Amino acid sequence: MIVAAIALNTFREAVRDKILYVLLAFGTLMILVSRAIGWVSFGGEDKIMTDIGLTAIWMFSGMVSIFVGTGLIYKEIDKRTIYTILAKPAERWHFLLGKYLGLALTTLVNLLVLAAIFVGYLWLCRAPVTLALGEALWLTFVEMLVVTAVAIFFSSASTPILSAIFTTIVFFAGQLTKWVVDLGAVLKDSHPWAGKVLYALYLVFPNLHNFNIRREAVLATQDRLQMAIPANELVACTVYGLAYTAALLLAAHLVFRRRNF
Amino acid sequence: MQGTANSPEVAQWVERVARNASGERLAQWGYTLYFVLFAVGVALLLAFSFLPDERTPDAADTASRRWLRRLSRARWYLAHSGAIILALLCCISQQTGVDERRGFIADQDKRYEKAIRQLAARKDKQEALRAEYLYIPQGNALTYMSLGNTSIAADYVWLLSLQYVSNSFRRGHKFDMLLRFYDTVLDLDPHWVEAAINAGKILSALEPNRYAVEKFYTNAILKNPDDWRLPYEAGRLFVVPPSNLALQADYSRRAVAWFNGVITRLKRRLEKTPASSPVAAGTTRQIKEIEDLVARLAVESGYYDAADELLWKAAHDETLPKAMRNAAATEWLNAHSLVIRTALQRAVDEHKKRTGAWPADLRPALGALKSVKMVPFDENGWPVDAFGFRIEYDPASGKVSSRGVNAKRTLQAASIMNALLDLYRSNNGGEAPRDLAVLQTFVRRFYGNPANPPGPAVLDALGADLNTIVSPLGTPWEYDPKAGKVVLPGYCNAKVLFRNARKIVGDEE
Repeated sequence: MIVAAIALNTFREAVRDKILYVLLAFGTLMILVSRAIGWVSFGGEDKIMTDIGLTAIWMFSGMVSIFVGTGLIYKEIDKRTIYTILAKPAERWHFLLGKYLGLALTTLVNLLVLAAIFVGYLWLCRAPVTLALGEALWLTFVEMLVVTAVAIFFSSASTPILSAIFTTIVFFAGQLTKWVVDLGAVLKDSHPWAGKVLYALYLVFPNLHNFNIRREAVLATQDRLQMAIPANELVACTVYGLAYTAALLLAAHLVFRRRNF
Repeated sequence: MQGTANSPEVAQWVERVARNASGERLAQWGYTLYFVLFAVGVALLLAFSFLPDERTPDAADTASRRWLRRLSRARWYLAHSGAIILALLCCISQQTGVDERRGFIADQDKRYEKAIRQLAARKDKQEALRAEYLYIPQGNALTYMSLGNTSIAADYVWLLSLQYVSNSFRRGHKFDMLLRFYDTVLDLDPHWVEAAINAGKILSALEPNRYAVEKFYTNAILKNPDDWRLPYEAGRLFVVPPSNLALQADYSRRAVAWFNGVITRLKRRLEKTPASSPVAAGTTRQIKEIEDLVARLAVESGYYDAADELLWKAAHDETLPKAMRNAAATEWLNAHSLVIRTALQRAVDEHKKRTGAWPADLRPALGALKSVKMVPFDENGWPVDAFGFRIEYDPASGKVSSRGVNAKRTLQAASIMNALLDLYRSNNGGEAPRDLAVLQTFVRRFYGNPANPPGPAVLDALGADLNTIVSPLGTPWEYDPKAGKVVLPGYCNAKVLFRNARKIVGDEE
């Protein structure tokens, strides 16, 4: 109950944030412009349009998670409003989880709005729409759950600017962890230990590339197929995302419970 | 200027002058507007400096004083507006200066190309090509740069390649890097088949070497082994006759090989599709159409037996449209006649090898026809080709020939001959050539220009030496100088020649 109250309040606070609307407007603009970019092409107009739309949703949802998420806890501490919350029968984990769920709800609403505009626009332009797009959007949401947890983790320990920088680094690096293993293979002869270290890093770092099935979804949609990846793979990616989110929130709680305001 | 008052050159010149004049008028209006705005900006600033800063009303004020006080309240608005206008004018002035020095994107592109040309002149061509290559990031680099969003990176390279093609026309048709662009697109999005198909089409339009384009398709097919569209396009590459007719048989063989691959893939797809679905009907139709194409190509590539079987099947397929069955039957007459002729020729050659002499007639070779289905014989026991003509044999040279096959070729060659006679007339004031030797001189001179080589149809009809004297029948063309047309023997008539095809499809009158 307490968690739900904090979450709803966080959501209300986030939707009042101007940055959310700026990002939403840019995301919408990018989706709408995608058709014009498709026109320039010789063939593949629908594919280019779908590609740009999915990438825009991913990019702007990521920005919402990073820029809105990293300021939330700090703002409460800075304005001293956290005292009024913690003075009530609310534990610190209530506060942290509430903040996280509120932000996740904001991300979900943002993603749903952009997705509705995207799918509506595809439909208007008579481009193919299948459930494969839903798969890609679902995994984008799961990815945002992880990114939001990363933002909350840094936000519970640091200032908003540093948190934004760290979360952005994790967001970027998380997309490329797959290639870290390849780099280890290249360095295997010259630095035999490098491969092991890089592999360990690969396992520890969130592998956000798992959630990127945009290429598969676009191709499946062009071929009028309903599934971009098999259902068991979709479930595996979702479980991976939720487990990583839980780990990050626990780590955030560990830091936050020892923090003095 | 050589043109008359109404000539297109004059019209173009007038249009150009008018366009320049309108451009100049626009520029003059622009300057006027610029100075008007400048004056307004300065006036607003002057008004700001001359208006007294008197806001507090006084009971003793006169009417004019009261107006001045009211205006005084807007003093800062005037200052801001004037300053904004002047600042914007300053920006415009600087921007036009920068544009003049740096130019727009097209000018920048031209400067870049100039630099590349200078590099090519100074160093070697490879160096210039390498410098140009820096323009396109590699597939791997783009994967990292796009944070793993390879699909959108492929879109970017694809759009870049289209820009490169359009710029290349301006550069004088240099497409050195096109293949690199397309390979990058394939690396980034290996399953984007539509792009691979379009890339192949662009390449085949710009790259005269079909085998180089085929390599690109092979690369794409390796990445999409189950997709039928790519081998289909690869096959289509070789359906267009080559400019070098010596390659025709190889072209057809390659096309047949690719199309057979398409049929296999389509059949595999058909097995997975429910029989009642519209996709299944479409796929079946596609298979039949490609089989028909394969059959025709098989004739050109020398696979007469395969063509014979496929065309016979197509000619009797009730599900195919009548026109398609008719065409298949016509081609079957040719293919089947070629099967008969080839079997007999082989037997005659073997006889010569065995005895050292050509047989006096075809009797010793007739045994070879046992392996051929449906060989008609005339009342004298002499083999007849599918068109209904006796198989011809020359004991002096040992050459077996089918009159029907030759007549079909002659019919096609005659239409080319008549077109060349028309061309001669239009180049010689409507006069027809006196004889075909005159036409031959004209044709050889006409196609002797390297910029105007003969097309595949002309080469096929006249041969590489552009011979307008001898017809495919092996005899000289009969020519009517009054009509300016070649005259064909009575049997070289489509109605007579293809009467057996009409019997096959049940279309006999």
